Amino acid sequence: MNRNREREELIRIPIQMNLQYRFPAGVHYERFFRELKEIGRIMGVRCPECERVLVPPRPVCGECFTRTGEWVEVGPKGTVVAHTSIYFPFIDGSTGKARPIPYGAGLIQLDGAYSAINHILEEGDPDKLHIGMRVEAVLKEEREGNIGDILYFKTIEE
Amino acid sequence: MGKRVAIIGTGQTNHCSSREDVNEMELVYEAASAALKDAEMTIAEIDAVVLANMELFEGRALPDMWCGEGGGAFMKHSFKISTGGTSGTSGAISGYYHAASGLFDRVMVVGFEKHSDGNTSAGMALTDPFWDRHIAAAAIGNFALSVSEYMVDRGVTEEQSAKVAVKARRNACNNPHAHLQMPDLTIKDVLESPMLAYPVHRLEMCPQSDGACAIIFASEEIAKKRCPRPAWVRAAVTRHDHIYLGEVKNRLSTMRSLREAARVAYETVGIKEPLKEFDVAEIYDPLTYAEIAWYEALGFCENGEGAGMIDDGITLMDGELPVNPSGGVISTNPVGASGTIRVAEAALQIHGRGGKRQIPDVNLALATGYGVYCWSDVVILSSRPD
Amino acid sequence: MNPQVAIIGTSQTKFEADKGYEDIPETVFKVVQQAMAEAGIDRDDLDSIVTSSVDLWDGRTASNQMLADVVGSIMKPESRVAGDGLGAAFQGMLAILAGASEITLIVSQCRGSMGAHYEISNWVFDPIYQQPLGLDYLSAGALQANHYMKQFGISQEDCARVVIKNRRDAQNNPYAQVVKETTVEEVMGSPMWAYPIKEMDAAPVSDGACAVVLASRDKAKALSKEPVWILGAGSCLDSHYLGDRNLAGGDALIKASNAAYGMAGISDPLKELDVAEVSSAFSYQELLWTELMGFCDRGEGARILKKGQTSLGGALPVNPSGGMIAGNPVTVAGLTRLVETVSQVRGEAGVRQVRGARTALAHGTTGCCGQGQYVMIVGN
Repeated sequence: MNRNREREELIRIPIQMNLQYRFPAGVHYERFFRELKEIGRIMGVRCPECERVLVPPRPVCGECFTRTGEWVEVGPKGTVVAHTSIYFPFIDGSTGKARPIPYGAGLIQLDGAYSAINHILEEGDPDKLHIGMRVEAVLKEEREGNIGDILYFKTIEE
Repeated sequence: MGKRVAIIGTGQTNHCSSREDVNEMELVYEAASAALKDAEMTIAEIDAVVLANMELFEGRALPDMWCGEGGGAFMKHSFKISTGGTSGTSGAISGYYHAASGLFDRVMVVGFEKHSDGNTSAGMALTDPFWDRHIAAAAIGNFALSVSEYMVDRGVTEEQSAKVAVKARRNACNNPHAHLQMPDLTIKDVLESPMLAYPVHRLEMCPQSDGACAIIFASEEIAKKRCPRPAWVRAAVTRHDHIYLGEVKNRLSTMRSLREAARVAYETVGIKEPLKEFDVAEIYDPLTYAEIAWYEALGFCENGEGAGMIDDGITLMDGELPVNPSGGVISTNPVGASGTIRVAEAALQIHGRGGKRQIPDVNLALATGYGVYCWSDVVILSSRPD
Repeated sequence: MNPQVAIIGTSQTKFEADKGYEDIPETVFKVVQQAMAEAGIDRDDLDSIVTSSVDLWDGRTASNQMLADVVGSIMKPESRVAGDGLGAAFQGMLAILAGASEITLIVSQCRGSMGAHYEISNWVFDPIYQQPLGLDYLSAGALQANHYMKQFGISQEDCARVVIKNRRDAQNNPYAQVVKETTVEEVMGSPMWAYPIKEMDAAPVSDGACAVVLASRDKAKALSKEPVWILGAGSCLDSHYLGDRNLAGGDALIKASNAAYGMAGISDPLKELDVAEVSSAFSYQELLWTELMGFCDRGEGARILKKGQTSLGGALPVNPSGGMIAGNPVTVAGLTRLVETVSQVRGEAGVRQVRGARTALAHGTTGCCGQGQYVMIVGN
């Protein structure tokens, strides 16, 4: 419903934002992505107080306000704790192209971790997705050291 | 608590998908002017201006520098609050603190957003550069994930969710400011609208709107003199929570920040039975399922009974506790203003200025804010100062 | 006068050109822990948190999200002022005066090294008239500098003397980024960026963070042997369009400082203030702000500096920390000024201590050319 005033020739000024940033990864992201790239394994950190294993690894457990401690390997298998199929062609961050729809996304609780991570599911059909299904991370052959090194999580029988 | 403070006036623009006829500063001016008119006040009387907005959605930095003048901030104390979806309610709470502090007597708060100026999806995609950006499924993806858990946990059906959308968009028809006014919307329409992210359909999700909303807070003496029926601020509580979605199990069911904020707010005012005691509630409903979940989190009913409330019509205009007579966020969503609109709508119900959406005899009103994954604000307004 | 809000803990990082060796949460956690330790509190004691950061400088939306774990805001109230850290201190002060909080943590962070500061600042200007001209903080600052210097006969050398003073004093400041002394010749010989602002007239790219713990009167007396009271506070926003402003007139700062002086009962700043820390992103600004805040008559800022009145040992030392010229990112600068003034009043400023400092002024700005101005007066 258009309740605007009578339409005139109105100007829209186009301005493109093109800003470059260099983000500091810090030691936690640095090690996480290095291990993912070079060894092909997913790491979390344990909070010494609540003992939860957190992914992504980070300097401080927010719940306990305490520095995190030991590094723990998690996954590559996990359980889907939440899922959806997306029908809007969002851009795939690693290719810059729109993802073919529908595509699956989920919160996957990696074996050994408290955190579930938000990632792509290979299965895109909503009727085939359910909470509790088992999945496994599929890694890229040639990894670059970013979250796209995990291509998606494939359904497995377990 | 500090000094007693009341809301004595509110103003809003007519929210829509694109305001081609005004720039962002003018949009803010419209809302601020409307609030001054409502309060029968001049801008010269305002001591401070608090703005609320999420700047990256319209590609700005420090938009209060440009738009502040539209809110009357010229040569006054002013700053901008920016906390995701809760910006609007956080901004209102900041305005309340300004007046309650005793340092300012008449405070203008303006929440605003001009989505059409920018690229909201791009703005929303600018999350953690190492972690989330790759997935970038915006709010809809995140909500859909939480809905999948909620449906299993509470047994909520698609039809029940659609009823919330029907309620919202029909209520919106009574609100001249609302964006999506759909008098003939049916459950079937909602469930046949395009699927965004399973199981959430387009008509179950909030829109993006251009809009602004202004509220005028006044200290006790001024409020009593200038407003026939001030809306007194009785509680204003904020709680933030985790920012990793995967660490909030069953987010919609648990929503501990909202539960805790409500608990503290109710305790402050002495509310024991919210369903009975509130006369109206304006709650921040980013999508239909969230509204049902918030009924439970806010203690309107037991856990698991939220969907039953919508089935039984308890939250309709003529129900026991009308929820979102304005149409809610599902009908109108300029992000920086959405929270402010909740507080303004709750206030104008107490003022008796609700026009066609006025609920009779409103003495106690609830307004809530929601943002990011789990940030919550709860504000309680009353016709009585204590 | 009965001040109701005090500062009971402060902390700042060493400011550096590039803190890329650690992530932002790590940097912030350290200052938060230090400030809380100094205040003698732990997370359970925090009633609320106010952060200050700006999305476009952080390169992400709702950027305060990334601090959630390290500022203790899980299941607590947090708010964010998108602007200078002194504005966040304002919000924190108001929350305490409103009775909503008794202990509030204020945190500000910014990494100048992450993005292109001046390019980002172009996005502050309105998109219709000023942004398309390519204006940024530098070119707009140059416009203000020219206007001010022409009006009052200030020379580039006068401005260079601010840099000499700041860089000299910074050597006393263990947190300062740039600790190398310089000369008028060196400053005058540095590359011209936007006339009359040369490279060395500008605050360098800087990374860092700081934190302050505010407390209500009762809590401050219970927790701190030496609370530093907020005696006065004022803030004011000027017009956005440069052409609508009297760039050398600074009405907003005059109003803001007068409000602060009024609250603090100060009628003669030069006499009654012992030290001032002002946020000057460019050398000319230190001169301009000191005049506008009434430390001297209009146009006299350069003269009192030359006479040593604003140096350590002078009548009213300005920026004994070295100020922004010695390295302080935008957004964090104002809160750092508060941290510095608190150290001064406590007598804990080490080599840069102003003897017998009891009343101090902290100043911050948001936006271009001091469009938004904040002034706080602290003392014991």
